[in-house]
Amino acid sequence: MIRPLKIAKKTIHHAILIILAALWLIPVYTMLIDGMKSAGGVLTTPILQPTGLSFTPLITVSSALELPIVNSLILAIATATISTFIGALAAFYFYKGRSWTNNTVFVIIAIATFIPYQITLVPITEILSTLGLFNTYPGLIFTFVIFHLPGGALLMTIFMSNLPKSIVESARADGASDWIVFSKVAFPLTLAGAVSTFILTFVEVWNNFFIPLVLTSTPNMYTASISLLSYTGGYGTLYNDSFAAALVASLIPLLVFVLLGRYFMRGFLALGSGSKG
Amino acid sequence: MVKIGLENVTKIFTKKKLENKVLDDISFEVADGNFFGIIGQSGAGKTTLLRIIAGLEGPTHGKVKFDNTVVAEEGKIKVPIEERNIGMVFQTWALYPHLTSYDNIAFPLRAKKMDENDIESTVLHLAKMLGITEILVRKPGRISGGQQQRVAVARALSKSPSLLLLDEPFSNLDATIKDNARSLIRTVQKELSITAIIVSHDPADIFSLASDTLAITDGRNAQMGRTSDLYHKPSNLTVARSIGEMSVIQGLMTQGSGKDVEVKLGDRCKLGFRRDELIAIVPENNTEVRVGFRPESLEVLEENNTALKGSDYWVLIGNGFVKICSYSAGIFRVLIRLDGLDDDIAVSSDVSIDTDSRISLYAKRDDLKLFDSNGNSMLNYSMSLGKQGSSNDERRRIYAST
Ligand SMILES: Nc1ncnc2c1ncn2[C@@H]1O[C@H](COP(=O)(O)OP(=O)(O)OP(=O)(O)O)[C@@H](O)[C@H]1O
Ligand SMILES: [Mg+2]
Repeated sequence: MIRPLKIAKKTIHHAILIILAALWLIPVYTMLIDGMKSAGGVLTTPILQPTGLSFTPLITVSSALELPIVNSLILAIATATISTFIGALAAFYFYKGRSWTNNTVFVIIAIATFIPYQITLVPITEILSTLGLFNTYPGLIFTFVIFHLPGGALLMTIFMSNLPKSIVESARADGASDWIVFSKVAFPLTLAGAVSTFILTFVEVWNNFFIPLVLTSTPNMYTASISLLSYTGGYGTLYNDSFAAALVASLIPLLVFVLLGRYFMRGFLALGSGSKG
Repeated sequence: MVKIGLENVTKIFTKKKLENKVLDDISFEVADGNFFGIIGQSGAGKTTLLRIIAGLEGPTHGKVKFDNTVVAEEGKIKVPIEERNIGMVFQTWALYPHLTSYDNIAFPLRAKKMDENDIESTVLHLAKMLGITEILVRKPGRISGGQQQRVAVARALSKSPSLLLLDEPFSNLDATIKDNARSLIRTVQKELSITAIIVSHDPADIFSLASDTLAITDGRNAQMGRTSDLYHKPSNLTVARSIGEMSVIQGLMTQGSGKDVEVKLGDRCKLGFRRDELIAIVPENNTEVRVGFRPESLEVLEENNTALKGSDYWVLIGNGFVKICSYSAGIFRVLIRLDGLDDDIAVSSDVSIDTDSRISLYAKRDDLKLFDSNGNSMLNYSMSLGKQGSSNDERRRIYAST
C-alpha cells in the first residue's frame, strides 16, 4: 500500500526537478548551440535546432574578450577578497560583543546593503575624478568594495554567529590576542562561509554592468560585461558572436562554482546545523 | 601559585531593563595551591561565578583579586582574561575542531610565541602524563569523549597556568571513566601545585577533589567551609541536599518536659533535643520543623526486630515497607515509605531487602539534622557533633549482638 504512494511521490518530485532544470537549461542550451552557428545560420535555422555547428565564433570572440575577461577577473577577485576579508573582520568585531555602538553600526551596514548603488554612483564618480582614479583599477575596485563590503560583512556576521562562543572564549583564556583569535580560530572555522561570501561577491562583480559602464572610458579598461554590449552594436547584431560571447563570459563564474562549490554548500549547511553556544 | 580573593561580588544581568541578580554579595578566598569547590543546583550561578573569576565577565559590584592585584572591580575588568594566566576546562571542552590534538595543546604556547622545540617537549610531556600520546595527530572529532576531555585538560595546563578553572569538567563523561578522570586531575593539580577551582552540581566531583567548598543557592553564599563540614553540618536544607542525598520528614516541635524540646514525627516517634543542642531560638509550641536523614545514618530492620531497642544511639523513626531496593557500587539503596507519611526515605543498606517487606526504620540519633520551616538548620553543631565517633562504636556493638 505504501510503496506505490512513495513511488508516485518520488516521481512527482523528480518531474518537478526536471521541469525546473529544463527551464534553466533552455537558455544555456540556446546560448551554446547558437554560439556555434554561422552568422547566417543563426538567423535561418530554428533557434533550438543544432545545425551547422563550428567553433569559429567561439574562437573569434575568445580572442576579442581576452582583455575584458582579464579586467573582470582582476576586479572580481580583488573586490571579493577585500570584501570577504574586511567583512570577516567586521563580523568578528560584532561577534565579540554586542553593545549599543555595535548594534548601531550593524544596522547601518544592513541598511547600506539595500541602498541601490545607482544613487551614490554620481558622487563617487566625482570623487574618483578628483583623485585621478577614474578609469583605473584602484578606482573601480574601491567603488566595488564600497558597494559589496556591507553585504560581505552582513553575510560573514551571519556565518560567524554560528561559531560556538566557548571556543572563542577558550582561545582568549589560552592567552590569544584578538588577532590570533581571529586568524587562527574564528576565520578558519568560518572558512566555508568566507568562500561562500567570496563566490557571491565574485559573481556579482563579474556580472555588474552599470559601475564599469560609468567608471570606465577607454576600451582597455572594459570588463567582460561591457564588452558583451559591443556585440549588439549600431550596424546590426552578429547574433552568433553575441551568443558565443555570452557563453565565454559565463564560463568563468561557472568555473568558480565548480571549483569552490562544495565550500559554498558547506557554508550554508553550517547555518542550519550548528548553534552558538 | 596564586591566591584568589572575591570581595562582595554581585552580578546583575540586565535585559530589556529587567534586572536579574544572579550573584549576590559573594565573598571568599582560595589559598595558594588549594583545590576549591563551588557547588549548587542548576541556575544557582556557579558558571557565572567562575566566568567572573576567569575574566569572561566583570562583577557588577565588588572586587576580584589575584594575590594582591585587583583584576576586576565594580563592573570593570582591569586585567583581561588573556593576561590572567589561567587554564580553563569548559563543560563542553571547547576544543578547536580544526586543529589536531597536538595543535590544540600547543595553541596556548604558540600564542605565547614559545620556541617550537620547547612546545614539542611540553606537549609530549603532558600527553604522556595524561595518556594521550597516541591520539596527538588526530582532530577532536575523531577521538573519544574521555580523550577529548584529557586534551582539554592538557591544553589548560600546557602554559603552566597559575590558576586552573574547571566548569563541570566530567559531566559529559561516561560514569565508568569519571573516577579515572577525577583522579587524573587531582594528581596533576598536586604535582604542579596550582590553585584550582571546580564548579559542579555533582557531590562526587566536589568530594573527590575539593578540600574546601562554597555552596551557593540562588546566587547567595549559602555556606562555605571544609567539604566534609558542608556534608555533616549543613547550614540549611538546600546545602544539605546539594552536597548529598537527604530525606526529610515533617515534624512538630513542642516544649518537652523541663528544658527539653520534643519533635514529633508521625504518631510513633518522639525525638528529644536538649536546648543547648539547638541554636538560640525559642520555638513556639507546635512549630513545624523538618528532620533530615542521610541515607547512611539510617538502619532498616525487619519489623518488630528489637535489636536496636533501648539503644542510646539509635531511635526508632517508624514502621513501613520497602518501596524499591536498587543497587549501586556495593551499596543497596532502599526507598522506604513509612506508615502515615507521604515522602520516600532513602536508606543505604549493606544487604538487599525484598520489595514490599515490612520494616522498622531506625536513625542514628546524633546524625539527625533539624531544619525550621524555611529550611534553615536549627542545630548547634558544636554540641551535637562531638558524639559522632561513639555512635559508630555503638553500631558495631549492635551488629555484634544481633
Ligand atoms: N549572559 C547572561 N545573560 C543573562 N542571564 C544570564 C547570563 N548568564 C547566565 N544568566 C542567568 O544566570 C543564572 C545563573 O546561571 P549560571 O549559568 O551561572 O548557573 P549554573 O549554576 O552554572 O547552572 P548550571 O548548573 O545549569 O550550569 C541563570 O538564571 C541564567 O539564566
Ligand atoms: Mg553552569
